[in-house]
Amino acid sequence: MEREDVNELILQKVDEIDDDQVRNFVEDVLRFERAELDKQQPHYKSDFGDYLQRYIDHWESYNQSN
Amino acid sequence: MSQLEIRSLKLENYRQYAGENEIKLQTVENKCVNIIQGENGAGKSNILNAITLCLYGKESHLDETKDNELESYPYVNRKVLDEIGDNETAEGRIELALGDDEPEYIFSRSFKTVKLNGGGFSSQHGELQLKEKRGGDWKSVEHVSTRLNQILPVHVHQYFLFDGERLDEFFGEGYKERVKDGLLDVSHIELLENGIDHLESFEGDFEKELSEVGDAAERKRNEYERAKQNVKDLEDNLEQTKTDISETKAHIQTIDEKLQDSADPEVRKKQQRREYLSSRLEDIRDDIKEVRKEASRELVKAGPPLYAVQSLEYTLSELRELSEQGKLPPKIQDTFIEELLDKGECICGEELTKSHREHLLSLQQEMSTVVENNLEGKMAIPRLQQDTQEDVETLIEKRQKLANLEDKERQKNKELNEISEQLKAHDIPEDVDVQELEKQRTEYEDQLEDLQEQKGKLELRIEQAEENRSEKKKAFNEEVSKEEKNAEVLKKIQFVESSRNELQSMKNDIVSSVREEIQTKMDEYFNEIIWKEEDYTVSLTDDYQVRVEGPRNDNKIGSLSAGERQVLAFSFLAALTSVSGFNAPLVIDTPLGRISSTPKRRLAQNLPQYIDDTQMTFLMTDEEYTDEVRVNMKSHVSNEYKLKFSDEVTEVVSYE
Repeated sequence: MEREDVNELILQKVDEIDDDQVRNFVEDVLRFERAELDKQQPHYKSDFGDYLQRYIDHWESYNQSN
Repeated sequence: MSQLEIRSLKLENYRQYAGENEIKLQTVENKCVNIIQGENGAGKSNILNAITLCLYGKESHLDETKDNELESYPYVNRKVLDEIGDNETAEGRIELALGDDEPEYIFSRSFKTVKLNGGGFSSQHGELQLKEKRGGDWKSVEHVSTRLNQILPVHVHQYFLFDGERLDEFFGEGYKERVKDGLLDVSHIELLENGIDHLESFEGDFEKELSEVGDAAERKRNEYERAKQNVKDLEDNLEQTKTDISETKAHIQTIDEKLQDSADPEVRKKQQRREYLSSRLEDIRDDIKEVRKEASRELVKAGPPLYAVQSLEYTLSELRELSEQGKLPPKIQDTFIEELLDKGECICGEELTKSHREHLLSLQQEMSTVVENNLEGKMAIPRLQQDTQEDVETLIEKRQKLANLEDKERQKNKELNEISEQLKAHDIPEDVDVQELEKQRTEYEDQLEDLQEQKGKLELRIEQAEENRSEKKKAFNEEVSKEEKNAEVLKKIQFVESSRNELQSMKNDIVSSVREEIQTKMDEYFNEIIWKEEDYTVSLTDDYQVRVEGPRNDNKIGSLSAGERQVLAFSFLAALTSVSGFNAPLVIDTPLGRISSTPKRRLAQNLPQYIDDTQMTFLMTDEEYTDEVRVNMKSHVSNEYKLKFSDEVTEVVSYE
């Protein structure tokens, strides 16, 4: 995702996400969606799986953090 | 976000533009307006068409016209076609350079026209090509439509490349959907919605991975799956109902058009009256919905103190009576405690211990609270009574307004029914079978009413089904989390769910803040352009209803003139562009066409300020680009061109 290709309002909201891992994952998901916007049924599962692997190990779930 | 502007448009043999024509449109700082002035037929609209044909393979101005003859107009210039023989082909090209800072883009599309035997033509256009400049180098882009969708998506182009004269139709029937679509489109909400949908399905795959969970969890999984399926079925049903509603409306529209073609002027007159009444009825129903909401809010506010009015009156009279009797505030008791503490001895002669003293001090504190409460009560209760009185008056006012509106609704409905009955009784033979059409129309109207009721019920059932799904999901997750081996998958599910919730909350926040900002700006722009003795209040409700209220708080949207509706649409589009954060150049054909002289001057003066940082290219007739308009726009204009048309060919020349 070229940041300038996405609406400024969305970028501001992404920056406001407190959780670093969730923020990075959401940014990756939006980058993917932006690139595939014109496709009717993009194959997202494999890409999403890769993004998830990048962040899940460093993420503390509610149960762990509580 | 860097500004995206049209740097130049090259037209080769397209329509009126024979040979190569380049229109340079790059603007300089603070002068973001381009003017291209030309008489009707000189090729103004074809500049807009050239841009949409180049980018999207469609000529927007012709697409929506009912005149099919126009579609047979050849792409290639007539004069060029005169010079070739039958079955020979002439070619042309459109090139659009976009950008400001890097990246820069050059979009291009070729086209050709074959001259057929017998004088006809057949035109075709080629594929869109794109070159992109990054780091000083120009490179061809492979996935052109993907890149185009990132820069100027096809579904938003109508908000940036449009015919101003058709803007008055924007706030006609069904405008709420257009307003909603505009807001969602330019805010890139589709991007968030796609992300939410895909994450939901991604999360579902992990749920399937939870295996060997035991009988209890399997039961809960089945319940959760059923709850999910139920939501999906209801959503599909809702989509189908919405499609049925659109189709039914289209059938009614077709019948209306046929009735409008009746040879009998009485039928045409009745049909026109019906269209007016239907439009007013829609406004009245919107108003009723709004006033009902306001009345409910007032009831919630005034309700509790209203129900407690007798208790409050009783409490106040008791307080006053006790006060008059000297029982409140309880000075005696207070003094008595003071004396006991000073003396250090009880009236029975027993000496006060430490715990006696503590008890007496706590009693003294309690007394002082009673005094405070007494004073507060005496002051607060009349204040509360006064507020309640005011709230009740407002509530009565809202109820009265609602009753008036419902009365108007009844009258309009009555008149509409009378028109329908009269048309059903129409027995003058003519080409248009009025009786039969009217019978069909009534059936469609009944069908529409049922469908709309069904839609409302489905929306409610979806809400309930979603709550149920959420409960079942929670129960299933609780059960499977008892098994250690599921911890890793559950963690992934929670992570994806958190991300999805973030996207959902972003979507809600953006839609809500964009709506509020659009409302503020529309109100400002509309009032500045349509200046009247009294201020109008323009509002955009959360169900996308636009209200233009005069001093009597009545919604005037149905009674605005064509020019006023055009100004309202301009105000909406300007607000949309200004607050959406979306960055695209505006090209408007005949922007001031139907607008009368004073608003025309104000629009010319203000539009460049409303949409600052956005390049605007106006395609104007001589009647629009008057000396007065020119003077008012001068400080914002970078490039000014005139179209000189003669002998099938247009020449683009700089303004003298």
